Amino acid sequence: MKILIQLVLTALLAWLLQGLFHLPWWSVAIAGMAASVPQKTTPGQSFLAGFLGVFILWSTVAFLADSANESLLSAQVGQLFPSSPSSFALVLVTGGIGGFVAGLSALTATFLNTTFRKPKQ
Amino acid sequence: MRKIASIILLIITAALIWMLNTKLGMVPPIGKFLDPFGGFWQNAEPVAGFPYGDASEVPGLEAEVTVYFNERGVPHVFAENDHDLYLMQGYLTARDRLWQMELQTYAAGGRLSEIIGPRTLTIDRLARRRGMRLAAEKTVDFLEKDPQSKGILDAYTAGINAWINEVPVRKLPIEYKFLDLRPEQWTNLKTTLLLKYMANMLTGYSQDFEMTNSLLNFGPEMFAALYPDFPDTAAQSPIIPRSHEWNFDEIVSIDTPQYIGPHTKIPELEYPEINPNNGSNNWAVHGSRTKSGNPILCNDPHLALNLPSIWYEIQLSTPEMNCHGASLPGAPAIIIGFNQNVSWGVTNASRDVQDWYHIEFKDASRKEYRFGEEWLPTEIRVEEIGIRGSKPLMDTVLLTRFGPLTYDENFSDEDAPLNLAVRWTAHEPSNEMLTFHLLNRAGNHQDYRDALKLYACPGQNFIFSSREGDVAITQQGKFPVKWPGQGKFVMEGAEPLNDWQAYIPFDQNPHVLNPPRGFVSSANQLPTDATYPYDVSGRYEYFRNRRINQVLGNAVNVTVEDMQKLQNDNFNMMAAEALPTLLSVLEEGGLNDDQMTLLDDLKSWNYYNDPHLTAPSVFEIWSNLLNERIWVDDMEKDGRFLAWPQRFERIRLLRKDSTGFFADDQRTSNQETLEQLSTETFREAADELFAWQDSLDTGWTWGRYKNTEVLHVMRLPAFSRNATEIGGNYSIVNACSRTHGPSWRMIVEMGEEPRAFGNYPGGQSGNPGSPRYDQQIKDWAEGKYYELPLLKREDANHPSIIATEILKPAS
Repeated sequence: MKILIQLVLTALLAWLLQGLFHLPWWSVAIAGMAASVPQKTTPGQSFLAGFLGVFILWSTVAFLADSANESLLSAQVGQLFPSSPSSFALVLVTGGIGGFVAGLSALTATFLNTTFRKPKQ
Repeated sequence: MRKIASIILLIITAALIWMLNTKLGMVPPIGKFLDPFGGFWQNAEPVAGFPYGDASEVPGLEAEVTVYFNERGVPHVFAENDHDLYLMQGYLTARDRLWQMELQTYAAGGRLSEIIGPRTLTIDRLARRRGMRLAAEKTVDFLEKDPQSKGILDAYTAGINAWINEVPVRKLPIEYKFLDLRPEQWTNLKTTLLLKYMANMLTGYSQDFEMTNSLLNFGPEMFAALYPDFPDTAAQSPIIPRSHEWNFDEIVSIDTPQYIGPHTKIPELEYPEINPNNGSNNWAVHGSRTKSGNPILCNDPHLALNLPSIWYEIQLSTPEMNCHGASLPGAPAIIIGFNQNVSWGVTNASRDVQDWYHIEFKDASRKEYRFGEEWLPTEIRVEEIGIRGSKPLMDTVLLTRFGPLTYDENFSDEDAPLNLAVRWTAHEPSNEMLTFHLLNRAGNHQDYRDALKLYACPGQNFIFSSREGDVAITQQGKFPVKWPGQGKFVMEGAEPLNDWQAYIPFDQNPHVLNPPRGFVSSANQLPTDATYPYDVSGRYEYFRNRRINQVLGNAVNVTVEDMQKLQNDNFNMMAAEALPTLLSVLEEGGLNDDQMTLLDDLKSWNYYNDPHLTAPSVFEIWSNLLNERIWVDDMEKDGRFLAWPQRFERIRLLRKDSTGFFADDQRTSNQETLEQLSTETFREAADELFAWQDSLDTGWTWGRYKNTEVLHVMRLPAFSRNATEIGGNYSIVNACSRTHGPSWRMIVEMGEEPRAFGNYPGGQSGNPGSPRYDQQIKDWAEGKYYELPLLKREDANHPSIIATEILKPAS
């Protein structure tokens, strides 16, 4: 449950920062960090929540753009990459990169949070 | 312990973000590039519908502008005045083609290193040292002195900047994201740089260095035989028909120096790649030869085939004018097109307007150089070249009375570097832009002639036809009066008579109106025969023009469909003239069965380079190999770089059986014969073809073997396309070789309403993520045309229109 809440919060925040306020791509790190703060997830859980939150958001947005475009562009961009990934693979790579950055940020935030904040007794 | 781990994690996260946000070598910043909100996915345009069509505001407009778009994305612009018209042209072109516009002007101005890095430094230095930037600066100053021209330039620039300021970063062309760049503001200088970019593409070709070595190597007699000014006169078909009489009152005469030969051999120098196959066809058939009785005008400029295309189709209209045709992204007005009353087109004049001078300095300070009895002072110009990722380079260029000193001790690997300055008509300010502005509005032959008066460089063959029924052609440009041989090779700058002494007056440039033969035409051949009172040295094409004139000379009741057929004509006149000789010297006894099959294919060939035939592939590969074997040892031995005689001349020598001397490979002690070389190379050609087929598992039809490429402007293979359905080749009317070809095809039949047809290998959008990026290539390759309607403002419901956009002045 904690993971799910953090996941949804991450995705929502990232969408707000990027889709609405047009902040640069690395704002997913901010979303990942911010969403982890109120949660009491373990570092592992936090990474997973951050990763999945942005992975789902980025893959979905990329997938929708790709469908409307009938993979015209992704088929070409795939050729720019070493192993020429398919359009769908490119969607997953996109989600993976965004997700990894958000996950790592969430993990870092959780670590910092539990290390430096005095436990409330 | 946990604290240290936390800090390390934080550093790793930050480092990862930095890495994914940074361009590393030629790898784009991955995080930024893949981001679906700001990266390349934003360039994935929905296939359904059209991206534009709402009402919007554009700063700088004086009144409302209406734009209709057809299904190919061609804008039909209806503005209230010229200012709004050019502003909209800039705005719409930038919206579709911004990256290409910037890249071309970066290249022209020697600024590629600013966006690419040190890899392009030599290219940039060459551009600057050949005076490209200097020329554009002088031209923009000259244009801005004329209020009308300044108005056009300012409006066009304002339109481009309106788009640059409006477009969000996430919607920038994908190439900006790939290189991690932002566009800069457009300036009038960038527009003149684009004009110089074209001047360089069409007149920047130089063979003077190789010619110098040829003359020193062969001596004057053989030189004249190998590189004649008017090769095989009887066979030629110059632009101005040979029967034409020159009735000039007074001829401009100049003095010829005592010694006209060069002094020094020229080492191999860095020189930009400019393809001599840049050429074009145009012709206009008089009503007396057409079925409808109206003149029909045709034009297809042959340039490097690129994506985005070098052309952008547009219709420009105000209450005073209405014109449709092909424009150059980065330059205002339509370059090749038609209106209600006239149509016009261009081919390259191919005259030599760039000459090189050997400079003799007084001393090592290089402050003065010899000119006759005098010592003249040099000027210093410092070119600052920005380099991405490092400090800028300051390149000092000396200026002489001829032009910039391109080659000197600062730009040479030689121990004793030569000092070579260049004189080039592109350096001199002139107002080509206004020529096109006036042509767009021309109503008759006199208007056309008046518009051309302003035109200097690159020299073009302007073809013309009118509703009144006139057909005409003018070779227009600023052409120096030359003594015979002047500028064919490097000249001594110390001899004043080597400098250009005068220009040919406008009304003495080759021009003909309604000639008796009933058509006018040009295909980069000689402008005139030897009766023209001026030297016309240049680099000409000797095959296409004869085929065109042969077909048109026999044509009656000509229709638009006939003209489409002629633009796509694949008859290989070069092969028709060379192959019988090649076959006659081939020793068939030396061929095996497989090779004999190829030979039979060639023997039964009809000389058409049609895409489904195999014989053209055999001819191409064999003739190229044989050509190398005959000539390379004579032209590129011991570090000499000589000029190869023209293809036409080489074939003529072959037919006259006088290549015996050249056939012998001078690197061997044996005496090689033509028979021997042709048989050997035929076997090699067969081996190459079989190997090619095996590696690709496909038949060697000409279309597949030639494999025409339409290359992305940055040469990214992913954004390039192939066209295997198209035949033709260089020296063929359908001049589609591997990377060059008809970059725009247009046919206009004049009449009460003009009927026009056209196509080009690309699409209106410069975005590889748009269906309109490469939409027209297949039809182009198959020789299909689209109708180019001259719409009126009230034609909002014309069946070709799929979207309407209203653009209002910003409130």
